[in-house]
Amino acid sequence: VTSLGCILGRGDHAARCPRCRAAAAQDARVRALADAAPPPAISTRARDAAFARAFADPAIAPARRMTWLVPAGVALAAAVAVAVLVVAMRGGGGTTATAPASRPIAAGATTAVGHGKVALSADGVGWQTGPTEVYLLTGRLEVEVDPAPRAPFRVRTNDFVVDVLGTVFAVGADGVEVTRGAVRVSRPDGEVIVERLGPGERWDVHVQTAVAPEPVEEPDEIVMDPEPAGSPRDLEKEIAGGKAKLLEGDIERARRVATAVLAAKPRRAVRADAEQLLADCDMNDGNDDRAVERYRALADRYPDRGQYALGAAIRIEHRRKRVAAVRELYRVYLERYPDGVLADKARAELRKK
Amino acid sequence: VSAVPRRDSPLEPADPVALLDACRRGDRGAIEAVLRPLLPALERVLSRLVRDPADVEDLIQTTIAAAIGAFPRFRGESTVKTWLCRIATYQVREHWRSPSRRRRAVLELVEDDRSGPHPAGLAVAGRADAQAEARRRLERLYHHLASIGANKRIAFVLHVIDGRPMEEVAAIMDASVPATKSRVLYARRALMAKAKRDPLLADLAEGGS
Repeated sequence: VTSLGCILGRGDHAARCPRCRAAAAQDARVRALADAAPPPAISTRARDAAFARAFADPAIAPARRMTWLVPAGVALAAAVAVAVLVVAMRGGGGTTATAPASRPIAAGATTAVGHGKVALSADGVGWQTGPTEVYLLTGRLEVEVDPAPRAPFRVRTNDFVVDVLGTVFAVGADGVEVTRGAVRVSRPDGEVIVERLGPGERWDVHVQTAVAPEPVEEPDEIVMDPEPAGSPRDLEKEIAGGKAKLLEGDIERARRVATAVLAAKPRRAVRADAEQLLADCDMNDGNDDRAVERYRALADRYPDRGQYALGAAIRIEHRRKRVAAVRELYRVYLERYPDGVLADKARAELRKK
Repeated sequence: VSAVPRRDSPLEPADPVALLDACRRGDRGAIEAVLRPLLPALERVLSRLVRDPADVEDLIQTTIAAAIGAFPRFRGESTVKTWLCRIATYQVREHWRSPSRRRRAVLELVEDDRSGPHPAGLAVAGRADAQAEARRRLERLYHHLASIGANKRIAFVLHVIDGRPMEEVAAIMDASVPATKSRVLYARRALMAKAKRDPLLADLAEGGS
């Protein structure tokens, strides 16, 4: 049970509260264990080399080391901190503008790059690395580009490269989704992953295959959002504030924060936080049906939060004495997390008649 | 800022405001002068969070590269060190999300038990055994930590394992102190639930609810 006093820790709470005293003892044991086996240090030379690489050309990817991969031969998939949104616009002649080899792109502003324009989010870091090439280290990039076939526009990240072949497509942290036209997705070493990704298709970086989702209605006109995407850092802060509000008992405020954050179309992790906060609000508000619905959706959408979400739904249904619903949730839990925290309990519950 | 700029920077070393202004303008000499002294602190944060030295090396590079690009937006509301550590935690989050990282197995050299007593004597051998045991247990601890959400994990590692005050962790994570406390609390609870079920770590959870 979370005590508000444990969070706020006012006065001599920590000394009086048995939970806090036990937690402090556990922390001390963990710290002692960590001190007994300090992390291996890297050499000063290696550290300085990493520092120099960052300075020599910030746009370079970390030098690849010989690494054991499991299974052998697995492709180096994207490990990017980016959500790139590239939007092509009207056709026209390409340009042959010469760009500096590596020029920082201003964050929170729109910058002309070759025959296109890029808008880097306020938290983003990126460089123009060629006349029509952009490297994105982190953040979100919106691009308007003339399709000009003789001057393809390229968005490069540490782990994958997207070439504009057609008109409209989106690249996110989880892959590429084409709205109109076509793109090619390659590895940084040039090996083509997907030769041509057409309208309605997407490439998922986690599964490394192209799939065709449900058909979507294409907009008549693509208009670039004049406002840069919300800063994930700020949104994270807002969510943290919303959670604090919930802990303080201000459910409505917490709900408003979560709703506002979701409206800003944040990246996946923040979106998951916001959806979880909404579910927590419903649970604290006594809106059990809605809370269970939200937790189940959360578990389906974000497997990394499934244990928490399913556990919360189980608690609610258990409290409501809905045995069938509890068993169903335990069954789902066990299917997805056979080694999870609740796995033993789930097995025990499912053995009951 | 007490760093001394390189000779190619026209700045006076005793003028931290001018030094930071130069950093914001993208003066690489100034940026290097400010960031280089912070490398040990950066390495400490990263090595506590990811432990693998090769990953730490990569993350130093990406963190510094991100800091170079982000310096124009440094508002001076926190120290450069806190700001750099914050960037480092962003990079670590992305690193944890990386599919290539999740597929990678780290192979470690382990000593052969059949090699006999340590030549320097049993005391040294005993110490080595204890350290190896501690390392094994800590690896298990980090294994369990890996299943905890990134924000909670970072808050827990920085506060509990690295021993930083809650206020400092909150500043690094750009969060409120209560939010940070709740992250640590939830991480501890999840970790101890796993530790209880793990014979190697069960003693850590003793006394908890």
